[in-house]
Amino acid sequence: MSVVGVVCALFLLISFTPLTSHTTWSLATRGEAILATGSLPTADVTQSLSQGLPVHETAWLSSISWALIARQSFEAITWATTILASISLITIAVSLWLRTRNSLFTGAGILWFAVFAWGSLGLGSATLLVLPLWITLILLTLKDRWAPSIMTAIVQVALIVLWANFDASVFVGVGFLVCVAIGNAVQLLVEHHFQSKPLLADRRFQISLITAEIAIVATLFTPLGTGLWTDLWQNFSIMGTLLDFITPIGACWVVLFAAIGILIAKRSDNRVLVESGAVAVFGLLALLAADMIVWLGPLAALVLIPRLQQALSIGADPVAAPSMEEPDGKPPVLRFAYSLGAVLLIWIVFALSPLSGSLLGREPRAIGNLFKQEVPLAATAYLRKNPVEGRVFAPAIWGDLLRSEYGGQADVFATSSMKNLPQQAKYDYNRITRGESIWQEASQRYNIDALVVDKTTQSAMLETIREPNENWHVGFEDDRSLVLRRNGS
Amino acid sequence: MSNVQPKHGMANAVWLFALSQLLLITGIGVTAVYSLPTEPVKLPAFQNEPRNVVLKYDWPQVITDEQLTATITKLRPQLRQPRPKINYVDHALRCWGVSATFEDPNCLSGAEMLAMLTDQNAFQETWGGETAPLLLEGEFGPGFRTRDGNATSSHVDHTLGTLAEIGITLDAPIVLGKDSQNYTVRDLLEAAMLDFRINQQEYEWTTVAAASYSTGPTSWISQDGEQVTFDILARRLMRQHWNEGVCYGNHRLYSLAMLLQFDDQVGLFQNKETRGLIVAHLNEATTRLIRSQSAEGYWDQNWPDASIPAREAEFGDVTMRRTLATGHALEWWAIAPAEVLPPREVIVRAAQWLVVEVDQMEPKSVDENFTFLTHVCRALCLWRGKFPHELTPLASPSTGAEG
Repeated sequence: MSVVGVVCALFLLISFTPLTSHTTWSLATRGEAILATGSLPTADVTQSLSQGLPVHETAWLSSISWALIARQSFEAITWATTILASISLITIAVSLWLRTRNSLFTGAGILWFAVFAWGSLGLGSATLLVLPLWITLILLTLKDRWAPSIMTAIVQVALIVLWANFDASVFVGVGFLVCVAIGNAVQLLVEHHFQSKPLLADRRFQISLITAEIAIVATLFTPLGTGLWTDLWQNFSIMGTLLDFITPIGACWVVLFAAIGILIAKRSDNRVLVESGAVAVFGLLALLAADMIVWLGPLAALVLIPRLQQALSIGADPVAAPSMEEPDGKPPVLRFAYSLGAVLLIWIVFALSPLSGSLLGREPRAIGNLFKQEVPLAATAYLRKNPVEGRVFAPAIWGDLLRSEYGGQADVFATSSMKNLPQQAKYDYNRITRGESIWQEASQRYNIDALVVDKTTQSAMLETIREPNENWHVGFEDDRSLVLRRNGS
Repeated sequence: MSNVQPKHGMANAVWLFALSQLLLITGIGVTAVYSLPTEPVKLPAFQNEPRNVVLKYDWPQVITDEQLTATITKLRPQLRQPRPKINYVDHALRCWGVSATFEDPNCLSGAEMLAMLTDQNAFQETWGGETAPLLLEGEFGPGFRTRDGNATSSHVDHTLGTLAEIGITLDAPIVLGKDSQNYTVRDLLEAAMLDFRINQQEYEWTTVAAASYSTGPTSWISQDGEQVTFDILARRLMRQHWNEGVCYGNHRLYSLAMLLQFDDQVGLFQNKETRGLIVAHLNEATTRLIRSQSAEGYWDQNWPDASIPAREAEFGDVTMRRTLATGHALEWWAIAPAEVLPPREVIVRAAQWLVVEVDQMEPKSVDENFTFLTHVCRALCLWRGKFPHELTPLASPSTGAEG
């Protein structure tokens, strides 16, 4: 019951998490471009200034998925987000419960996963779509005790193919399968006193290695072909944003290595070392590139929590003494009461969530309630109603929504994909944002007909463009943003 | 349950496993190498001799032979003087070409002007050794000092564009100094293209030069890593507001008209839509010019929309502005396809206004507006189906050297 309660609380939290101005809109724009042309774009379609700079569309299936969802309504995006996140959450919860039968460990595992994953999980992102695939991959590995059967191997490879089409993060899954193969090899070598013959003859090792290798080959089964690998070579970096320890995620990371320490100290067999080793590799990578946390979260929860339970010798939840009539251990009335309570709780949470709106005939939420407060909704609506002919200069983080078919429909200077802009455009973007006086000259050069200023974070720019000017006028202003328009645009 | 196979099948299984590993690892390795990012070829092949625009119009109604002779004689390059502005020499060379000769001893011949721009020794003879050199060695190769006073070129790659437009071959020498290594125009062109960025402020003349020496629908990689095609350049040329850019946006229109001609000659564009977009853009420019033409025949800074008052120029008077706007418009129309031309009367009125203005111009005014007047001179010749050098040598005017 307590596990159901935790899951329900998290479900409610997810369902009311507001949308942001980026990620979904960038993917949806790319998806619309694919649907319109029937082919993968070779340049960044979210920023017209990126023309001439080749990019690989490595998330074509995610892009199309979010485009199709976004076509429905803003509310549909929140629903999809809720459903996808809930699938991950419930899978983790059920799996942990089945493996531990302990509500404390299950609840802690769910919360651990939620905190770990939440900080890095972009709502409406490609990651959200592939997270269930990642969790399934881990569960399949755990199911066969890190030694896949041929059937499991086939499913794992199929998952990799699907993942490769959703997002380039598929190499995380491939890396995991390689870790499993290496782990098996190490374990077998230790068991056979570092003799290679038994290792080579071991079916467990053979299948896990061949599965990892075929998984590598499986990443080629996308419309990009070898392009996905080329993209990996071009963008691979072991270093990213360093993990910040003064955050809940940082605390989770510390707990992770404490747990690994306990497991190693109290190890019952060599497999614990292999499993802990695989998690530790992901943990260390997350230290160098904090984005890895989203992959580390489910792995840590699913692998370590049951092991911790074993290591700490804590059993399943205590049950009432079994009666002759009920071998399950609970009197029928009590079991029914628990089930009824759980169903009631699920119903209440569902009824409270926006997901039930259409079913229960509730009014759809106002658009303001769907988005985070910092999203420039009013400026977006203004630009949609009063389109400009040329380009719109806006904070890159706002660019995705302003560019989107479902948002401002503007040709923006920069989006969250700013890394795809030519160097000079990035340089000029920074200079304008800093409030340097080049903005008028740059506006000519880039054909900028409107500037959208974030009044909260761009005070220097705001001050510069506020100076009286015969060629520009304020088209729109509210507490959050200001839109300056070129006269006659 | 043991994971080790029965002994009798073990040897076979190990061999089979080893074989599978050989195949898989080889396959993965080969694919990995194949998928390694390749460094794109930065520069395309060029043709040694630049292509030139073909003159399709010879309209005597625009300007009579007598008017043309009188006008271009007044605008001849009287630049034989100490320290002639390089900007003037550059424009004069573009207008008159390398084979131009003049009876007037005050005039520099085309060959002399070319030497001044492409040979540092000739430049120093005129400007003195203490003047900073016009030709420099840059990161990517030789280039011209630009926008740094009278001894420098006025616009990015303007001089390179001049060399292309007057037919200088890529193997022609460029002399940076006595001790410098040997360079050619090819080195100038390659350096300009490698140093190029699509979003730079002045890009019109790099476009002209690259298109002039191109062998077809080629592309190159810019300093920012952009693959620059002529389609992208065309879109860049059409991107800004009508009168933004050098000379009230007219060089953009000229470059577009030139791209259309070269596309006819060699098929410059990779995308079939580009040509139609350019034609539509030039048609829109023509429509605006027709609407905004004054009763006298001239245009001003506000040529895209005469209802907006013309903006004062940073230097020069109203005549300068009008001469600039009118001369440049006639120049790009002269090389544009017939489908984007205005009614003949529009061109005749504009040309006749220029003829009268030039005729009435004081020598001081001619000198002050010399660069813009080279465009007038060239435009009027083009409308008679000739390049200015084809009308040289010009006799000295009987009235003396007043210009």
